[in-house]
Amino acid sequence: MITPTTSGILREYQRFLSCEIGVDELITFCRTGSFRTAATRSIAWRILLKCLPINSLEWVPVIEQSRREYATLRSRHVANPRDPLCVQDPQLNNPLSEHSKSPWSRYFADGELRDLILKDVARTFPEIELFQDAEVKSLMCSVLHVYAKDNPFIGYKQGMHEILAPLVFVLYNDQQLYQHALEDFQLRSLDRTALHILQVLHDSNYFEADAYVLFCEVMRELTPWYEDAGIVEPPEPHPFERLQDTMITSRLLKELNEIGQRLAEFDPPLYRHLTNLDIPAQLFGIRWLRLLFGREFPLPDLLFLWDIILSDRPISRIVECVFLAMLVYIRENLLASDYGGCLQFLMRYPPVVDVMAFAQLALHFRAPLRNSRPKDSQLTNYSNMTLQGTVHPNAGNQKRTVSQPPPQQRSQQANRGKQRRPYRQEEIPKALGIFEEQVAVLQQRLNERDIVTAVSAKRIEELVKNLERGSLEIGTIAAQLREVGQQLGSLTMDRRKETPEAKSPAQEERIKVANEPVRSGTPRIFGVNELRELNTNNQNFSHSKPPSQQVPRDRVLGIPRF
Amino acid sequence: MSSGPRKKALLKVIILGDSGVGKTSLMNQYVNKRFSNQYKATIGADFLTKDVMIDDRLVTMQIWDTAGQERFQSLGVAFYRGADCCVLAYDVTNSTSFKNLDSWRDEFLIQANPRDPDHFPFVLLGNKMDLEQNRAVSSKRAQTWCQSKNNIPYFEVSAKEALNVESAFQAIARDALARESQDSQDFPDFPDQIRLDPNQNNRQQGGGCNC
Ligand SMILES: Nc1nc2c(ncn2[C@@H]2O[C@H](COP(=O)(O)OP(=O)(O)O)[C@@H](O)[C@H]2O)c(=O)[nH]1
Ligand SMILES: [Mg+2]
Repeated sequence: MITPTTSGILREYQRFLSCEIGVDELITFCRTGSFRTAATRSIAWRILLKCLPINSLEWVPVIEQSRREYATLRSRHVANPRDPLCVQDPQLNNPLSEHSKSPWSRYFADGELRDLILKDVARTFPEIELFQDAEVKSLMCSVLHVYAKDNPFIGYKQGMHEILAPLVFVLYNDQQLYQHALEDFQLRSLDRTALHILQVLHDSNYFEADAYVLFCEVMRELTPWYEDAGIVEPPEPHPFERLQDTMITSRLLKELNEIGQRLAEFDPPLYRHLTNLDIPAQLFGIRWLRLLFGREFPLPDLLFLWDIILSDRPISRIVECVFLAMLVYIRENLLASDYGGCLQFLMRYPPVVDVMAFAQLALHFRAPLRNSRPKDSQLTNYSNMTLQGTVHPNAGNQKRTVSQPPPQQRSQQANRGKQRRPYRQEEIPKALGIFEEQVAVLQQRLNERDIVTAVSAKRIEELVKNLERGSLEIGTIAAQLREVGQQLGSLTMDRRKETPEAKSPAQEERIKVANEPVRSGTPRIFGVNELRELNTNNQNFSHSKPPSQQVPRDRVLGIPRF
Repeated sequence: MSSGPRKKALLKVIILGDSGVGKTSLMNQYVNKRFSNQYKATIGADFLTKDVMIDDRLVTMQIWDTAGQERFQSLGVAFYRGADCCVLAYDVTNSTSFKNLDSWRDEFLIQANPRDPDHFPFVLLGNKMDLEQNRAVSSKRAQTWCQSKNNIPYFEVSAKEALNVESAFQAIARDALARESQDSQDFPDFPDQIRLDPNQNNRQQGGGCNC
């Protein structure tokens, strides 16, 4: 359950290869969180996005075809004048040539686009090691560049880089897991055909092409939210008409408008509250939609949400439901907040405690009869911190007096006399419950390290036994030891980052997210929910520290999320 | 709308400018007193509040940060509504970001549509003044531009080194406050989707529709 065990990863591949999984089953796997720790999420997504057929025997030709197509596109759109395949004519291929056919003239013309993309790629998931890698950055730039050139009507828009990033992450992760399983002889029982299919699928030489193909499919769903708001002339242009009074022309704003209407159906009091404060979904929802909630959840939870979203195409319905679930999930916080407070909760969405319960709420909105609503007690969040682990701007502002909406609503507000209020007596137990839970989760995070240490110790002990018995090759033992070493090393690196002397403001923000991909059979840093399972399933590893122990302050501020 | 001084002022400030000039960094430097070179790209808009004392008056500033790519009402009307001050930002090392100031200013005036556009408070910030060796726009040039726009106040700042940020935002608050006390009705209470009749601007009682 936690990491794909030897037989686990093999079994996962076999399921896909033998076509045991139908689309319906795939959807069920997505919704129940089966891919949260799997090595086959990239396969699942490729099937869901119709980049691959369900029949594995057709995979190789299909994928090879798409890779060839990408290569053609790339050479057409990304002129690299230094590429030997570029025009050989020295008259043309020369930076000073002003000829329009010169690869250099195209290269210079694209300069602005390249800069724009690079600026965003450079600040993609700064807390995740993978995206600091120069090769990964250059891969992302190329993919976005080719996409922009091949789709001139939409081009590159900010935000696309954070749609691409999770796709890159998932592909990379699965490539690594495959490679590792192979080197670990875990796939010995597969026949040549099966191995060949997996080899082609996970070939890291085509990382860029594969990322592009996935990206295009996701963007196909998202283009309505990225396209320019048409400067569409209203039917009868009027000289005195204010532009803002014309109809909403962008599909993004229209979508957000519709979501607002659905909130009115599902949660009338919340809808009224937000409407009275003049906080339409358009004010905060642009980012939620364009990034498919990428800033509102930590990456592992986000990938799970995407499992659910991508398995329900066209995605706009389920996205609407996720959007509504986000609002309803924090409704108590919102109802108790004024204009500024609400916006800060919406712009800095408080971390969700249990993403499974969250997903259940979204699925409930999608099909209320089929999916039951989770209990309210399951819907908790850390409302006094941000996803980055910093103190939430709304934290402890019960006493703050901030708070009128802008002039427009001041008059309305005055009539209603709505004020920020302290906790009511009967709310205190619930609030306390949430705080206690937060402390418990912080405690669990501390336990992560102990778990990793314990697992590592156990592995070393086993390896020593193997060494004594001579039952394993020295090379294998060395490789495994190196892994254990890396795992432990990553812990100490963590710690170094946390010492106050070494902390720059930049590092302070940096959260350690698994820099090493998940590897089968090796311990890794666990997510909150997994830890909870672990703590209940695996009593002997949990609570090596008493739960009452105080959490040091700097930990509260720099919580690792993975 | 009521007139007379309010006990507590609330100011809505909008920051506009090209992507990468440092809008997000400026807002965070002002509100949270720190700089990070790891801010993610702003998508849509972002929002922070800060309480400040201006001449013995407690003022809450609601600062709206925008993505440099958002144009042509893609942010929607609610975003611009009720703005008290518009901060234009450019990067002193990037002349394109300076050239685009005109279109940002026009954009704001079109979207927010204040009644007295010539006197609406704008403030210009030239950011990244710590990179003096890479400067591409001279202070003189920026000042000339400001003069041509009815004397917009101009500040050179650095979000990175926290230079002038505090004083610039103080001035922003002051300007916005001055305007607020006039209690002008720049943003009449019309619901979003209702078209204005061309003659309606001159009439006293709204609501009538003669289409
Ligand atoms: N040297 C320097 N760099 C800055 C300054 N302010 C922002 N930056 C950098 O400029 C880039 C863009 O900043 P950001 O605040 O995201 O710009 P925005 O797109 O306008 O919000 C980032 O790499 C920042 O680290 C500054 O005052 N000096
Ligand atoms: Mg920004």
